Amino acid sequence: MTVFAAVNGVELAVFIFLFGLVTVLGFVAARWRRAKTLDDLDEWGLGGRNFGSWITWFLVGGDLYTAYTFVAVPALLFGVGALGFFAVPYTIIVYPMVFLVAPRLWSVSHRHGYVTPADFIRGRFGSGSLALMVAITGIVATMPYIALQLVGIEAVLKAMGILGEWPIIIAFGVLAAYTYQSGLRAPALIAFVKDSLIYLVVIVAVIYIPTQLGGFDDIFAAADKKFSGSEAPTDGVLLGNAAVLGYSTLAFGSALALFLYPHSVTGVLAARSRDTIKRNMAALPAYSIVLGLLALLGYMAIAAGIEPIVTDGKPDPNTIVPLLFDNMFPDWFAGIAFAAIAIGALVPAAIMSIAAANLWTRNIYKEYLNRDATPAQEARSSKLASLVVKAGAVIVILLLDPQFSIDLQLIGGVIILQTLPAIVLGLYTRFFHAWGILAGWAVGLAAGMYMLYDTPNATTGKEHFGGPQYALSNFGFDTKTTLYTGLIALLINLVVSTAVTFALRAAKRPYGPDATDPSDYTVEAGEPGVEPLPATPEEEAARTS
Amino acid sequence: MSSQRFTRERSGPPGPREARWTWLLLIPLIGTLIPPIYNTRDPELFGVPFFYWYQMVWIPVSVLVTVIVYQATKRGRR
Repeated sequence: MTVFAAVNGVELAVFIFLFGLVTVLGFVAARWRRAKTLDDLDEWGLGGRNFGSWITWFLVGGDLYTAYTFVAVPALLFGVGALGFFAVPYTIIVYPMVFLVAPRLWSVSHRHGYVTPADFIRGRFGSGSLALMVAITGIVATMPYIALQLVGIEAVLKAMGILGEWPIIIAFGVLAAYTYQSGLRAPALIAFVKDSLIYLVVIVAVIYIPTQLGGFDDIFAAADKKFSGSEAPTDGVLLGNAAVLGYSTLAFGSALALFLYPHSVTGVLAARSRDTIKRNMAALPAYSIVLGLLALLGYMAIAAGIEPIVTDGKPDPNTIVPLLFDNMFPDWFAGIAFAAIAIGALVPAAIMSIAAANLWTRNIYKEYLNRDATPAQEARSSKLASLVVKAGAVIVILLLDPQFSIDLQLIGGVIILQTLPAIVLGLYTRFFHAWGILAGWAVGLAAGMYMLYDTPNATTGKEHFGGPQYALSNFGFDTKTTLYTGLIALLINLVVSTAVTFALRAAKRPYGPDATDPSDYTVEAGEPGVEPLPATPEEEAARTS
Repeated sequence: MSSQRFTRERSGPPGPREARWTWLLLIPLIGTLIPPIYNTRDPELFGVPFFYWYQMVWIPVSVLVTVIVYQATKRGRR
């Protein structure tokens, strides 16, 4: 296969048509479920806080299952085998866990008008420092995640034979423009198209491709052959003994981290009611089926003899799924598949940039720069910040090695996990002292960074930031077992938080005031203090008359 | 207002009987987070090793568990 295949006209035409379609949708979204004004954060940043079950399902699904997931999970199976399948148990267990936690956050946020997780921390712990810590951690963890969406688009463009920087700059420029105009309504509307396309492509792929490759027997046999021929001890169609705990701790830790990301919180807070969220937690696993089937595409790529595209002497494993589609599908359907992945990058990138922008506005701009900001000023600040965040992501991808953003994303998962004691435990208890949580966060963060730095990767020959698994032999245990770095750091964090809290209690250091009441955590829409926002101008008129 | 009194009854933490149901949410975690249960090749299904299809089966099971807990903990039907 030539490295730079000539651009295929049919593929490109289908791709551009679908991309153009969602661009129009993105701009039209400003008028969808029209509000009187888009000039406040409830409207621009949370879509009016009024999304029902269906929209929430598409929005949160579009938010959590990103283009990078679709490209990187199969690439992981292609590279190391069974370990990459952790994404499936991860996305199974995350929903029962979020089912417990998210409704509480929704309730307290709606009663108090919180827009970001840091707003909640400010109210709950009465500590500006803690809120600032949560806000900055959220922004820092989200930025590389946005950059990674570009890596997803880049992989598709490479497979189509389109090289150079302009296509990516244009794609993100368009995205930035309609997010600026329409806010959260844009990704919510585009998510319908994205998910329909993804479901279509995946269903066709898992039915059609195996028939071309001689069935799953042959596909797994090919994978077996590849892994038994490699020297690395951790790869294989089944988990090696040393990888078993690493597999389950990675799934568990990733599930804990998911809800802490600001963009997940944005999706949750945009829902109309508690009930909407709970119902969604039962319905969202439908996406996990897609993810599990997609993951197997990695093995199909092995069986089909796909070799990743080599750029600058380095093979890019993220190109294997687009290349598989290119090889297996007729041109017009490959175009649809590529568009599905690229559009799949736009939805989460928009939500993430909105979430990061809201953190900036509510917890830094309004808190420290302009205390008397009007709602309109808040909205303008968020809109501008969303542009800055996207521009930053483009610059990072174009100027730095994409590997750098993958490393940053790895770090991002570990550091966002360090906000768990504040956000998740904070929803249940005020046992922890704000300074105890801060101390635990700082130590957990430092420990996590050190362990990541101290992790080499035998396969790629990297000395540092080689992966999310930390060998227990580093602690003096005589074992080859590894655990998910983020979870180890979280344990250290919890120990320190608890110890410092006890010390501060013994020293009788006062706690900050708690603005919330226990009943705030269970209220439902329509109950006293939780006014539903009008969905349409007609409803608005009916309510005020 | 009578409707307000009604909604106030729905407020407050779930009672102990409802809270007991939430323990069911542990089932998917136990089923998927102990790889030694399923880290085997056989029995295969349509050529797919047990490791893969076992975990996929947990997706509908997890949905079922969540739906049961959702229904059981729903407060004060309208």
